[in-house]
Amino acid sequence: MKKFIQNIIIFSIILTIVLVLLDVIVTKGLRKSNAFEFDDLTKIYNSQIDANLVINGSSKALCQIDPKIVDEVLSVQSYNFGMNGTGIELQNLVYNLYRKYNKKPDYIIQIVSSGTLEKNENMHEYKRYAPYLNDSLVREKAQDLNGFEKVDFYIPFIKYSGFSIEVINGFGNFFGIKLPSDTNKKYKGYYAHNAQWNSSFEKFKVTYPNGKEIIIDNKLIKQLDTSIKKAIQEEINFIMIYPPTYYEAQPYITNREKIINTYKAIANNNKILFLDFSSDKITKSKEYFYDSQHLNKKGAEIFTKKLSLRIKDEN
Amino acid sequence: MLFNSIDFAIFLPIVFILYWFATNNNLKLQNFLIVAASYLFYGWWDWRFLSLILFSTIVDYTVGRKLRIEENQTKRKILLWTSILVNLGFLGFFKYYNFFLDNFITAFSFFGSEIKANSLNIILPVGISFYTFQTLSYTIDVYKRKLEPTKDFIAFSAFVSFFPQLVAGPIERATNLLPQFYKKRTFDYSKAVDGMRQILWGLFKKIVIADNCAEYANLIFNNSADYSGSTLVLGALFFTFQIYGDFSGYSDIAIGTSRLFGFNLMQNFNFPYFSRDIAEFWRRWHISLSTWFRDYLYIPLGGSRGGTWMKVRNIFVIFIVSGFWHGANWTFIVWGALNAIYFLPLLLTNNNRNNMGTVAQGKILPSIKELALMLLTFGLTVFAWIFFRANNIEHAFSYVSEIFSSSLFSPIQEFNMKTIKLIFLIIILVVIEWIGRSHMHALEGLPQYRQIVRWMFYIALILMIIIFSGSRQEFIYFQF
Repeated sequence: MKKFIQNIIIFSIILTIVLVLLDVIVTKGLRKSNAFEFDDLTKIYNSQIDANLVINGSSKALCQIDPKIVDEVLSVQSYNFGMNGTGIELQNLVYNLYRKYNKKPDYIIQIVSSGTLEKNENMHEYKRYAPYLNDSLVREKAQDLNGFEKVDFYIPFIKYSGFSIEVINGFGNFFGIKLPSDTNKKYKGYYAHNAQWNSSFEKFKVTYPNGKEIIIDNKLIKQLDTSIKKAIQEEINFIMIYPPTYYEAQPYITNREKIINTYKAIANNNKILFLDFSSDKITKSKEYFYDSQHLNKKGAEIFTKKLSLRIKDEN
Repeated sequence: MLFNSIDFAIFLPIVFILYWFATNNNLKLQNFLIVAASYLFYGWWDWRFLSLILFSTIVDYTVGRKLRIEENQTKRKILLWTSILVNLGFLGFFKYYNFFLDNFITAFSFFGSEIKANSLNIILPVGISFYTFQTLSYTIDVYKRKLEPTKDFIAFSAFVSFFPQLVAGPIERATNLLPQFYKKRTFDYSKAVDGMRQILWGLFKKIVIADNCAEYANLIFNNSADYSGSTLVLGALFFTFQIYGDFSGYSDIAIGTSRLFGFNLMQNFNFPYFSRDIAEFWRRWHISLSTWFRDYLYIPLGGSRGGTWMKVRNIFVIFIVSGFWHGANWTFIVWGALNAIYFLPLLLTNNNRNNMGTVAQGKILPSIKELALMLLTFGLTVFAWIFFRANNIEHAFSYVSEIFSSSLFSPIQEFNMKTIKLIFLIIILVVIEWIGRSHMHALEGLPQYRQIVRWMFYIALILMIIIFSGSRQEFIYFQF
């Protein structure tokens, strides 16, 4: 028994050393990664974003607001922090990280939608935060939301469990080798979807023939309100945008009006600009969408131009 | 509690330390600790069903005690049937009630009669098919006077509920496992280390192979109408490795864990995908269940004795019952029947015991003939797994018909980096299993290498488990 315990202890020590080493290598490597999910945080942590206008939001920001057009029309330097599947909670996290390592912007464009204030306890695409788990802001949020497990915080390298391609990318970057899987497909955070209309809306209609009610989380309303107040206090121009959604899909969110009115109320209370494009004429044509909730590249370019001009007019 | 969970990673060392250090090697205390740990292990999933295990334990213990003193054959038979009815009654109610009810209603409506009956919302207690068969083996062996009934209720409770194999086997025979609870157990270093090795290999098979294959197989089986024949073939192949990694991985962890506590469980998988015919496959796949059916069903029915008709009947009975044991769905029955069809020609031509030893024993590679036979057997098995995995019988037939269409020759969909990674992992599995195929488990032969090589191998395997782990899935056999 003594030999068994002794060997277990020695083996555990060796294993721990290997795990710590790997953790350091992969973490350092991924902090240089430009792969789709890592690129924004890499730039944020390395203070590489020189923007005076930042765009926050979910996929409705990510693939609908083209910074190139925003920059041209408004003569600014913009950056799009849109992230798939996120609500205000994770969007705030990324913005706060941005502020921690980068300069204060003059403008925040907050893209809001039916999902922004929806109750969501998951840390969507949580692997992007794995190299930054020791950052207090990330750690706190990761402990609140579902995604990472308790062991991920205490046992080295375990947080990369199942992330095989990311581990390889991290290794490559650490040793200065850029792998094809580590390339950036975004422009200043924007990812264009050059795609035709797909069948997801048809599937949604089958799943929810009577539509779907979005459960609004009051805690998230408060978070959005707090972010606005903080921005005002810091003399940052905060603008809220409700982007276009395909018109046939609109009745399928049964409390859509209530959601938009909530944003209007928040904007009115804080005396900020709220631009509602939900009924814009672009919403009438499938040509500009790849699904009922997202514009394709063509639609995104038209919408970004329209939006930028409106902001220009309002200012 | 799942073997591949953090809960178990905490539970196991605690029980191990208490077992070897806090019981002072007192047999009764060790057995009592096993019972307590096993009930905790099972209750972690759903404590309500502990009453079923306890009830089965009490019934079979009492029946065993009474069989010991009862000489009247009629009364002995009544006692045996009491145990069978209680155990199979539970199994029938929890597992098959809705199946029989639905088929009963369908059959009546076919003949024009409408009957109304409501299905029940029944939760299937995890592992009921396993521990029910294990306790039945005790009563039957006591009835046949092959085993002396136990007087020790704690030892018997430990035998019924032994946590490493409680929920998914191996289905131990009372003649093998129960006497181990009577003997003083001392710590055996080699046994414990080998147990750790087997646990590690089991975790690799479950977490790396099965869980990754599951993602792909589930995607394809659940959306089979969207995919080409070639993609469906790949889906079936991935399910073939999923079920092997899942179930044999569980068995490896169970056997390895038992070895840490000084117990020897029976081998449950003996490299079945290297089989050269279906008869060999069934001697190597889920051995504890196959031999259970052989001893308690096939042989009492007459086995391979008697005329051709008897042989055919017995083979179909054992395979169909074996299929039905897996679940209340016609897909399992067809899967069983298909295997009977595969097996029958071998039995009828007396070729069912041709391949008894290890394939290519002492050689690095198999001969062309051996390779061809292995591939043929593997192909037949993959085909049968389609019925096993399909959601229902219509789904299975539509899956198969799409495979045998012109789309079989179209490019494979969903073929990406993930698929290539998965194929690479499967190759690692096959190579390691091939090297270790003459042993009880794939890593049993490792001690012949130097310690540094062994430890580097363990670390590599652990890193692979961490890096390539798939999204956690329940063990497939929990649902049986």
